[in-house]
This record gives sequence, C-alpha cells and structure tokens, in this order.
Amino acid sequence: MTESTQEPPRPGSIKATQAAAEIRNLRRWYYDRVKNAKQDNEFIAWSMEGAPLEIFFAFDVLPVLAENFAPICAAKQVSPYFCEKAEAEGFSIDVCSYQKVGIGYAIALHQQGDIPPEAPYGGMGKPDMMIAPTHICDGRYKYLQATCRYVDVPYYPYEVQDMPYDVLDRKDEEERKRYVEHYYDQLKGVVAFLEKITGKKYNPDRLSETLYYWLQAHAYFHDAAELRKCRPSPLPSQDSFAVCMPNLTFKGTKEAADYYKRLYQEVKHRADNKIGSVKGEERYRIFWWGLPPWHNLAIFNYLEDHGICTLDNLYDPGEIPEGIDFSDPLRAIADIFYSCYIFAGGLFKRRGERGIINFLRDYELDGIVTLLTTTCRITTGTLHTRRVIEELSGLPVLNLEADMTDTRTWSDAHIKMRLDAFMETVENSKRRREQSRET
Amino acid sequence: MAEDKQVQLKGRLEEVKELCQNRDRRVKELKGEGRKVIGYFCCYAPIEILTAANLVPYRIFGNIRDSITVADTYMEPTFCPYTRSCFDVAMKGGYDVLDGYLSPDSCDNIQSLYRLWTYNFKPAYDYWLSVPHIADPASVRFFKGELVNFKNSIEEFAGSKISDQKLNQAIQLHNQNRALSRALYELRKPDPPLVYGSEVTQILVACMSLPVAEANDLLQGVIAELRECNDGPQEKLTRLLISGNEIDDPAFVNLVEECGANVVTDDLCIGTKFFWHDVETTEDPFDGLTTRYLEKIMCARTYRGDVWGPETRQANLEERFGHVRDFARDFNAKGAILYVLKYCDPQEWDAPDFKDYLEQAGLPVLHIEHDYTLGSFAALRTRIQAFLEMIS
Repeated sequence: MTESTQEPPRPGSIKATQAAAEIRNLRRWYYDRVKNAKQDNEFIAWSMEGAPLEIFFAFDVLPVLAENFAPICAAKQVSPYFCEKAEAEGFSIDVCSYQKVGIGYAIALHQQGDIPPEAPYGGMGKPDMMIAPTHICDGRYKYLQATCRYVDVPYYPYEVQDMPYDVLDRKDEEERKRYVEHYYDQLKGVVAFLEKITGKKYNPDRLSETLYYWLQAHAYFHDAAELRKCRPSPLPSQDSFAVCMPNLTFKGTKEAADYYKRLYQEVKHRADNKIGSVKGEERYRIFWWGLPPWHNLAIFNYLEDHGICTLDNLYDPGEIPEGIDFSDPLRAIADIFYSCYIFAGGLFKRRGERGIINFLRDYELDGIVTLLTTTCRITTGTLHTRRVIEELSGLPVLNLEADMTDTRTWSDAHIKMRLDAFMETVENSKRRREQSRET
Repeated sequence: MAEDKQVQLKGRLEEVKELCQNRDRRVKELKGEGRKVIGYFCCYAPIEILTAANLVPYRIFGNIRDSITVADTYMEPTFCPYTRSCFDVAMKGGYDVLDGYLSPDSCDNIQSLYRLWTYNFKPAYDYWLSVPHIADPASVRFFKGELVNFKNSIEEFAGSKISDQKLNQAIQLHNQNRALSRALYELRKPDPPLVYGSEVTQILVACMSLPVAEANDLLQGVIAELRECNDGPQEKLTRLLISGNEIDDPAFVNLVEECGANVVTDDLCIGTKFFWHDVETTEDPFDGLTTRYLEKIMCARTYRGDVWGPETRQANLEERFGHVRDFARDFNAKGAILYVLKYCDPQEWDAPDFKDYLEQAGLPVLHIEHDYTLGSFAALRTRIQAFLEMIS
C-alpha cells in the first residue's frame, strides 16, 4: 500500500445489537467459503446486488459482489488503494467507488497473479464467471465488462428493465406481466449460462428451496425493520446498515434465513422492553437518507452521544407481495421483482416524496440528513426530491457531501462541525413544532 | 480562426446559422398552425412514429454557452452536466413550445431527469420508452412490443390512427434524411474537406429543429451549396475523428479546428450514431424499427457482442469499436478524440478499452472528459494542441 493510501486507524462503530455485532463472524464465514470454493466444489461468480442470488446458490455458485466487498474495504480503510489502482489504469475518478474498488481488486489480482494481500478477508476470490444485471445503474454491467481486461472468464450480461416507479404504477396488469415475462426469459438465460459453466442441470426443487430461504429472510428482516418505529428505537442505523449484508450477499441460504430470524427475535425483545441505543433519553430522531459512509459508521455513535437516534430505510426489503404463484420458482422470482419494485426507479416508490413523508411520520423523525454520495448515480438526481420533502414535512434537511466508500472524500472534523450546527437547527425546529401544536 | 468565423454564407447555409441561433422559430410557427411538438432525448427515440402521427419531433439540447443557474437547485453538481443544462434551459422557458416529452431509457441520468421533467412541467403527454441494453432475442421481442405500445399511446394523444402505410411513409422520409446526412459527410472525405466540422454540427442541429421533410429540403440545399462554394477549410491539416457523447454546439469542434486540425468525421450522439443506419424495409414496419433502434445504434449503453461466447476478447472489442476504426479508415482520420461528458458511466467504463483498441489499430487517441462548459476550454486547448503536435 502506498503512503498516500495509508489512513490512521479509525475506530469502528459500536453496535447496539448482538445481531449486528455477529455480522463480523458471518462476513468471515462467507469470505472463507469464497476462499475455499474450489476445494469445496463450488464456483465463484462476480455479480451485483439485485441479481437473483437464490438461482446462483441453487447451482452451488457463490456470488461475490463489489457492493459488499467495497464497504468492507472502506471499513478497513483500504478502499483508496483499490481506487487508485483503477484510476491509474485510466478509469475516471467519478465512476462508482463500489465498482472502482471491484475493478481495482481485479487489477491487483491480475498484476500480482494472486489475491492481493491488501484485500480484507482474502478478497473477492478468483472468479469462474461474471454475471451482470443491467438494472439499478449502468455502471454495474459496464464495470464487469471492463473487468474482462484483467480477468479472463466468461461474462454474461442479462437484461432487467428499470424505470421510474411511477411509470410502472401507471401500467395495467397486462403490461406489468409483459415486463415479468421478459424478465422470466432473461432468468432462463441466466439458468442456461449457469448450466453451461457449472456442468450442472437446473433443479427447480433446489431453486424452490433457496427461494423459500430468501423469502423467510425477507420477511424477518422487514418485520425487524418495522419495529424501529418503537420508542426508543431498538435498531439504529449503525446496526441496520450492517445487518443488510446477508440479504444482499448470500440471500437464498439457510444461514441468511436463520440470521434474520435471530435479528427479529432480538429486535422484538428490545422493542418490548424499551431498550434503545442512546444512553439516556432519545431526544431526537434523524432520518439518514441514502447510503451511509461505510468507512465511518461511527458517525451514528457520534450522534447518539448527543441523544440522537438515526434511522434509515435503504435496505428494508419491504413487504412480500401476495398472490405469487410459486409452482414455477423462476417465474415467481420475476413476478416478485415487478411487484416489490426491486429496481432503481422502484427504490423511489417507497423512497419518493409520498413514501418518505409517510416514513418520517410513522417513525416520528425530527430531521433529515442526506449524504450526497459523489460517485453514486442512483442517489444523485434526488436533490429535487429532498427540496419537496423539506417543504412538505417542514423538517430541517442537512446535505453532506462525501463518498460512500472512498475515504479520501471524508473529513471527520468538517462533517462533525456541520452535524453540530444541524443539531441546534433540529432542536429549534422541534421546539417550534411543539409550540405550534400547543397553540 | 475566430469563434464566429467569417465564413461566406449563402442562402441555405445562412438559414442553418439562423436556425441554430433561434432553434424554436419554426416549431413555434408550426404550433401556431395547429401542429403539436414532441421533445425527445437521444438517438433511441423512434421519431418515425411521431412523424407518422403528424407530430413534430424536436430534439432537446442543452446550452453550453449559458451558465447553469436554475437547475443547480434541483440537481446535484455530480450529475451529468448535459442533462443539467437541458433542464436548466427548460426551466428558463426554452422548451415551453413542447406539447409532449418522449424519454427513451438512455441512461441513469435521463431516468432521473424524466421524473424531474414530468414533475415540474407536467407535460400534456409524456412517454417513458423502455429500451433493453442487450439485443438478445427475448429483448428484441420485448422492444418490438414496447414500440407498438408507444405507437398506441401516440395515436391516443394525436387522436388519429397510424396505419402501416403512414408509418412506412414516415420511415422513408427519415431514411431519406439519413441518406442526405451521409451524403453531407461524403463532403468531408476530400483533403481538405469541403466543410468545417463545426459547420456540420450546426447543420445537424438545425435539421433536428425542423420537421423531417423540411430538414431534408434544407440538407439538399446545403449540400448543393457546399459543393459549389469553396468556403470550407483551405489547408490540409491533421484529420481527426471525434467519438463520444452529445456535442450539440459547434464550440468544441471549433476549438479543435482552431488548434490546427480538420474534424472529418465522428461517432457522436448527434452525428453518425443518429443517422448512419437506415430502418430496413420489412413486411411489418415494427420489425425494421426494432432492429434499427436496438441493434444498429452504436452507443456505449448497449451491450455489444455475443452473450454466449465463445468469442474472444478481441472479437468483443471489434464488435464494440470496429465501426470507429472503419470510420477513421474511410475518412482518412489520423487521430481520434474521445469526448466524454463527466458522470457518463457507460463511456467512462469503455474509455480504456476504446483507447487500447484504436491505438493497437494505429490510431492515436486523446481522451477528454468535459463538464459541458466553455470555461474549461483553455485547459482543453493545451491538451489538444499537445496531441496534435504529437501525432503530426
């Protein structure tokens, strides 16, 4: 690691729940599994979040996602090393830092001929294939295509139609089904590709099993997220961001399903017994809108030290739609996708103006902090929505600028100074709202 | 050469310059006559369907010469500067003439802009066109269905049916436009070319501000004048190709030419990407439209290549960039500028492969990242001059 990428050690965040603290062990378990994939007759596929990982596990293929590896690198303060690898090869500083870390790892792997020692947990392994969905953002399939410069394995992109959420809202059921059918066709292509690379035949029963585990995990995770409405909140943001990992990285496994059951049980216990994370009174609740600074989740502890609990809604998977026919598990995956709006535009269905206003009300929030993540295309383009929310809710909004993964963009002193000022704004705002309710 | 070079303009060329300075003049007249105007982004908009419905397609551009002021309160600075400028122009009234808005799924920024545009302007008509990123058989079927849906939607808005005959007529008109544009580009093959690259930009922008029949008439007149008058480049300078995003103003091409080059061809969003390939005549016109729009537009946002392999990496690079090499060969270009707008992920991710491929083919490449402002031209000038010195 060069001198420019060395960062002073930064303390990790203090988790409120046992479940969040357990993520460290789960992370190690999964990456050890990636490291030992070959000897365990498992395959490694580099892919992206939102891909149907339950299909991968049905073929004994371990997905490894840059969106998970990059936050780990950020937390370990080594993300600049991989970013600089990518930038030295001519990739722009402006591209997604998740993907930049991913391709930086691939470059280091190519240059060194082996797993780079800088990679935490043994890195992303050596892939047998790359599978790229086209939804959520353009960088996802383009970055993996660019990775072919350094990694000579089959690359399979498949189409997932994305759109602004209100577009799907306006389509009738026949039209929605047309999108479902198209995605179903694409998933058949993914299955055929996995058959070709692994030499295994598609087993619908096995997929039904992994899908069942995914839906269990989904339901428990959402139910736990709903309990955050309680006061004091049993699951603050430094925990809720951490606990998303299994649902995003190895959903479809029994381990993920069991984990979210434990999470739910613990959060329920905390909610029933009014156990929060703030020492003393939970004076205010802040909505953290968008991605967190993965390299510094301790910022949420900083807010807790001032009596503020932070809540977010980014990774809450939402409710499972009703009326899904599970007789064909592959078609069921497609149907769920366009019922739950699991695409970038769909993220804004629950996170668009109405969705956010409801969340602010239901979770009794007093202010909003947004991180304008400098390299994320999906979370940019929301400045307008924030203005509308500010007008509709009457709550104060603080916009911070930093990258979610690249530690070079974070200034702890500057961020804390702005948060200190914002806390005063939140206090004044809450006092005015309470006074106006009394009069 | 000064920015506003004193080129002796006659007739149709003068009309081009006037249209570029007053883009919406003609569509305002047409609106006064009862026609409806539909704004559209990008090469993926199937404008034949608009023409078939007697609507006027009007391409949405930004304004590199005007600072972004209003849009800054709606869009972060880390947002495509081109779409920010388009929205800024619209917020300042530049697109009040539009009756509707057609947005293909070009990219992430366009998707974000769609919500902003529809929320703030509430157009009487808007359509989000889902465009697959991959041209596999299932996506081809899906996209054909999407085009039919779009046609049905336009029929409802326009209040009239679009028969296959009307659609075929519209396709023929737009194919004629493409053929004329290619004929215009033939005038760039001589050394020196018969027309400045910056003038070509103006001609293309002017044509995208008119109904297609009028644009065809304008192009025919322009081509005839260019063949006759000798007001184009007089020196045999280094011949360059520009590849990349939207260049909707002659300023950048002018800058390159001022540095001592002749810009002789391109692979740009308002250039060859827009017009190089015709819609083929097919029994069902939607088959021809589907093939042309999904498979023939060479944009970085669309995956090229065989998803099943076993093509080699070199074969995949050939699929993605071979056409640029061919343009360079056919137009005798000696170097290429890769022009990438900041925050354009598809182009940014392609840039190293693009550069390697063309340089291995013997074509030096200068990769420029631009923030769509005139203010950054001073720094770009230095880099372009250095590049030209290196390759001359």
